[in-house]
Amino acid sequence: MNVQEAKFILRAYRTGGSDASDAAFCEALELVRRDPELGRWFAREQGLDKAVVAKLGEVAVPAGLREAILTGARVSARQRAWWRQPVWLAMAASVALVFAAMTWLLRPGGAVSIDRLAEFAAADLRSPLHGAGAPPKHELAAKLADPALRLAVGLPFGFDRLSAMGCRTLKLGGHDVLETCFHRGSVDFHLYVMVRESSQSAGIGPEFSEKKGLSTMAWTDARYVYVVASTAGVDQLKSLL
Amino acid sequence: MVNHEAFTQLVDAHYTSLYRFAYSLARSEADACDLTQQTFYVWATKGQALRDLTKVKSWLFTTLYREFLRGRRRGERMAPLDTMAPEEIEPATLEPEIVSAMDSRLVVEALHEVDEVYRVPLTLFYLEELSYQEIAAALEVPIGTVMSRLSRGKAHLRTILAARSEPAAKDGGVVAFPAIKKEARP
Repeated sequence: MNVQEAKFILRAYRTGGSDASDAAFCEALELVRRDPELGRWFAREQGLDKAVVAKLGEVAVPAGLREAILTGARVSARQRAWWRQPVWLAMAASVALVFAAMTWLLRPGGAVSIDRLAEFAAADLRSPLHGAGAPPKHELAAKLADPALRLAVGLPFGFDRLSAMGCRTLKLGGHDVLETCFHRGSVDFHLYVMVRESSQSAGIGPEFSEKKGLSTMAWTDARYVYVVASTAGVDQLKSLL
Repeated sequence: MVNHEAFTQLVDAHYTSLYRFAYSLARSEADACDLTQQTFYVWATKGQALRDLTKVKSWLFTTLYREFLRGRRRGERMAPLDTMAPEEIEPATLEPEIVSAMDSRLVVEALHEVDEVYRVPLTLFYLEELSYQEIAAALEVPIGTVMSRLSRGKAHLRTILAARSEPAAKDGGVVAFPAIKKEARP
């Protein structure tokens, strides 16, 4: 890199030092340290930039702009009828699809298989209304987030306690299904639990399914049927067991 | 549904810089206010779909610039690139103290005189909110083009500032020496 190239690059170097760790400037800055003439040029360049930055920072913002933005004075004049906005149209279409899927899934009668609970979980997660409820209590969220908790050995809380700790209660085939969300690391998981019926075998699974970017893992134990769903893939689900 | 508290925090964090950028683009207080408000309106209706919250600032600046371009009258185009003569690229030497002593209104007016094609990245650079990579992304131009426009924009601005600083150096209406001199070439 010659002096002219260094100058060209350094003209894009901000005065606040926020670019100091950018590799693109390292060689040019090294040249500044070794070349006193270039060093003087750079000091003057930064001085001029600082002066302009300071002047630009003195541009007064008109009184009332913040309030105008916050109150949405102009927004209200521009808004279309809410039901004509694309987001609402899309949501209406989604609700119709989910309603159709749920109607089929919620058909009454018989034990709920782990496949059916997995399909139900996937449909619920794709619903625009998913996540509208209150978050689970901290104790439950913290317990589920703990990597030491292996779901294969069961949950540390009973069905009634889970319900009291903020899980959503859904209905599937006349049965209660509890749902809660939790995080491990940066991954989101959704747990669905329902009481296992006597006609259904214990110890089934885990069975995995992957569809449209959503993975599910379903299994039964002595008391419950479980489904965990995530967009992070089957391997992440396996790590919970 | 807009989370009111989060929206207020977003506005408080960015509306001042966005307004200053808008003012540099529009060169009118009223139009700058409109652009700033419109940017937050777009955020309220579309921006919340943005998953990576570290990109909110870039998103806002990019959106404001796009809104500015969208609102520009048809046929009014930016000046073509690389129309400056090579000697114009070499910036005039101007002492920082001279700029510091100038009224901020004069400096902003000088910035307004810079061709828009250079003024836009230059203003983003002097606002110090975005890196050169983020400026390139916001303007949808290559990084090298941003570097080039910054060099030329600075040269342009300094020439204008130097000319504006001359009256201040006047004594009895006569300017004995220009307040700037061309940078010595190696």
